[in-house]
Amino acid sequence: MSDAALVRRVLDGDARAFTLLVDRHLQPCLRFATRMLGNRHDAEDVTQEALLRAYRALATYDAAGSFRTWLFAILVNRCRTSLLQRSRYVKRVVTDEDAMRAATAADRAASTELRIEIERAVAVLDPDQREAFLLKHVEQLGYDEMAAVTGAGVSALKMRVKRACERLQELLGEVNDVTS
Amino acid sequence: MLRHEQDPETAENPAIERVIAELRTPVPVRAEWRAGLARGLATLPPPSAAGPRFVRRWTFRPLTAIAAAVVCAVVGATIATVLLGSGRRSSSAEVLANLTSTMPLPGEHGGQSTVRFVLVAPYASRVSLVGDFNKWNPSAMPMRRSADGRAWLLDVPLPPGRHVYSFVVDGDLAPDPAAPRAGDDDFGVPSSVVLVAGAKT
Repeated sequence: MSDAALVRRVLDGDARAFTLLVDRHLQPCLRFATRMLGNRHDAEDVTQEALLRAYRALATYDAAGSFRTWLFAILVNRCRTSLLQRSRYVKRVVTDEDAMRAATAADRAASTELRIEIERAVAVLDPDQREAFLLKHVEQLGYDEMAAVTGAGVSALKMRVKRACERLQELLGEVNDVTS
Repeated sequence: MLRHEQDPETAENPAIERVIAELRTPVPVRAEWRAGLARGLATLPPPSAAGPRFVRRWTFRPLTAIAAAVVCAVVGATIATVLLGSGRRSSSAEVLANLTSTMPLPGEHGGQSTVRFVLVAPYASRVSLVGDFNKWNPSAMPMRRSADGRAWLLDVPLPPGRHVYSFVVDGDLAPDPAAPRAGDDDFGVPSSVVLVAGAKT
């Protein structure tokens, strides 16, 4: 059943149909928020808030458009608000507890180190660039969808993604230079 | 769900491909958090198809804004001239009776101030108030029609701080036209803000 059909069922009184929508979109939403905010707990808060807001505003969803795009627009908005409100993200560091725990396992040390370096590099990106990069390459939205989600123009988004890629290459290149 | 495994823009860049592959790794979903989300959803009123079906996007047009400012200034000056010219001074009771916009009332009780929510909607048959303070429950705070039948009123005691709210007019969400819009409203959930000052020490 399509997302739009599930939304229709919810609006017709079958609130449980929203659970199916949550199951479909929870993972990408939580992943985006985690990568964007760099903190699991804040990502959970923001994702929960976005899903509750989506449920409350479900009647405003236009079935002609993609539910994922609509939901991500809410989520991106909540992430931006969270970044603005919490000044600690100005000096964001990677504090992913799973990564830190995994770092103690010797057999996974190499991959964990890589992961931490990648997350550190992503954290250094300008928020606009990080947002565009994650939407494009991690969540695999098209540029038109990204424009609908972020409110930015396609040209600006392409530039942000390009600069994010260049900056990531620089940052990870520096790491490799130091470790080699 | 994956539309493409390798993006042409990054296909020749193994470093970026490695970053992307790492970032695409699924994030574990904690069972307790998932259960909390379900509980949160269960507390909300079911969304209704009768809700707002439009998304209004405001655009700023300088000439329109200047024209509106001039009209407001002229109308304001005319009203001030009429009121002051007549030598009439409104009592606070009259001011309260003639409120046409939401505002905190003077005085406080138990650390809370009473805010009078006002919506001029003479043709509405049912209006209620929803906001952060009542978990956006449209049946929690029905508003009463004013004596002249033009406006809908409700006095609500609120603690100091910023409160986001909206009106439900005959089943449709509507922001308060006489109050500032909430900056963080999203996707057609129109909402307004009222600020309640803290207690004086």
